[in-house]
Amino acid sequence: MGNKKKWLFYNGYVIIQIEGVYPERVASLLEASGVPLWDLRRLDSRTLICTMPARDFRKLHRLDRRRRCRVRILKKMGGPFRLRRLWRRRVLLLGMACTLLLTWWASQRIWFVDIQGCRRMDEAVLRQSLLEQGLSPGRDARALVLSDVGDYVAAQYDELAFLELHVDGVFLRVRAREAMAEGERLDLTVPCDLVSTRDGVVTKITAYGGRAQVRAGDRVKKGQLLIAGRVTARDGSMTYSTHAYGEVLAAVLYKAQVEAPRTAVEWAETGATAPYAALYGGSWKWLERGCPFEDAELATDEDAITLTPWPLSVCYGTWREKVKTERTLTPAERKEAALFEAERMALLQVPRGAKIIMIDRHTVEKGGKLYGVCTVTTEENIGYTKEIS
Amino acid sequence: MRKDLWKRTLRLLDLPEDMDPHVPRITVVGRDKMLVENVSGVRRCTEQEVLLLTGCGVLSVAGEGLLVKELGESQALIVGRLMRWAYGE
Repeated sequence: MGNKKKWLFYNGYVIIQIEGVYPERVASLLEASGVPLWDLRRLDSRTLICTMPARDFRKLHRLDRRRRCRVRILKKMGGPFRLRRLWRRRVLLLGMACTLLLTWWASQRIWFVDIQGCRRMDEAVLRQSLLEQGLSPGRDARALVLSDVGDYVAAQYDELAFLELHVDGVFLRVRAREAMAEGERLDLTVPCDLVSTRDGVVTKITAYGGRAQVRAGDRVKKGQLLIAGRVTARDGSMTYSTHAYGEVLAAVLYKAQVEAPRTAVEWAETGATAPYAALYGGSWKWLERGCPFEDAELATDEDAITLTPWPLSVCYGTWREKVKTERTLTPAERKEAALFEAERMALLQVPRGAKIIMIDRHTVEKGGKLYGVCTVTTEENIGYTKEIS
Repeated sequence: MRKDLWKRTLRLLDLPEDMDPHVPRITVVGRDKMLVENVSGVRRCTEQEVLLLTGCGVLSVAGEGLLVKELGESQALIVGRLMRWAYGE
């Protein structure tokens, strides 16, 4: 019966006063007609107070007429009566509804990005990459395919083997699993050689284990043995295998050749403009006037209007229409464009951690065509451990 | 007549007697609580005495600070300091 009383709280109940010659008879009749009663007590010889469900009050109304008793409601309690009182306070209800809606809306989004497992990988770089893929605070987590984003970002960096992303409430948990660095694959108990990963000229060699096979100034090819793990004693009495390790620095060249372009695509303003406005709530853009042009550049005013005390601000600006035009380049411009592109292509080949010593840029003409050539010279560790089979 | 029929049926089927809806069943927990099942109504309800209508007559429960805590589904829960109870006509 205790649970029933709790349930009745949600349905509503009333505390009534039965006044008459024989109020217990009304209580008995109610009990007989299936109406539960609680806390029956006498106030005096003619008055009985009890609690009953609100929805059964009409039954009582019919009974007390027959029994010549007067019934009065002393107190209305429970959920429906509270809601009725609350219903008059529309603004409060609206506020509650808005709060619930806002809470639900905010709970569907990512607000914090938690990255773990970065040792060699720069966490700030990874965070920026995720941001570029749309995993920014405030984004709807359900609209993104996290596995695809993880695969895409992991493929961009050599340091990463894979990224594990999952949404935990309003947190985006990112677990980075880093790839093993070169040379890290073998432990020191495994006999191995140190071989070259690239063509280059050795500038410095330090062998901590094994025997050096090259000297500073030697030109080496990719795959060439640098420090041998199989060592023969000086007197030639015995041969043993060890784990060759050490530091082999070499000057390595990275070369790129790019044909000079004849034309360049440029953006020119047509003079047509359109007003721009956007409403921000904090750093989140709520409303924005779209661009009426196919291609346009946005110039925003520096001073945004902030609507204090709310965290709202309005930003104004202008859309300037732009069109693509193709222009024939002058010889000097062609040369500069070819050199710029060649340098970019050469620098893209340089591995992370390599020290750039020199960049050489020049142009060559072959078969009536102009080429930009760039050679980047770096100094880097070219040793790579290879297990002795 | 109906009461007799119930009794006979229960006896015939070899069922316990307290399955008879006209026979009250009284459960007392300590001196503070009494649950009376198969109640057909309440005749009086004061702090000193509670009279309940049952199939065996009027059950009189005497005590101090008595309160019919729950009344419904043919059962009554009386709380308070119980002193004695007896059947009357």
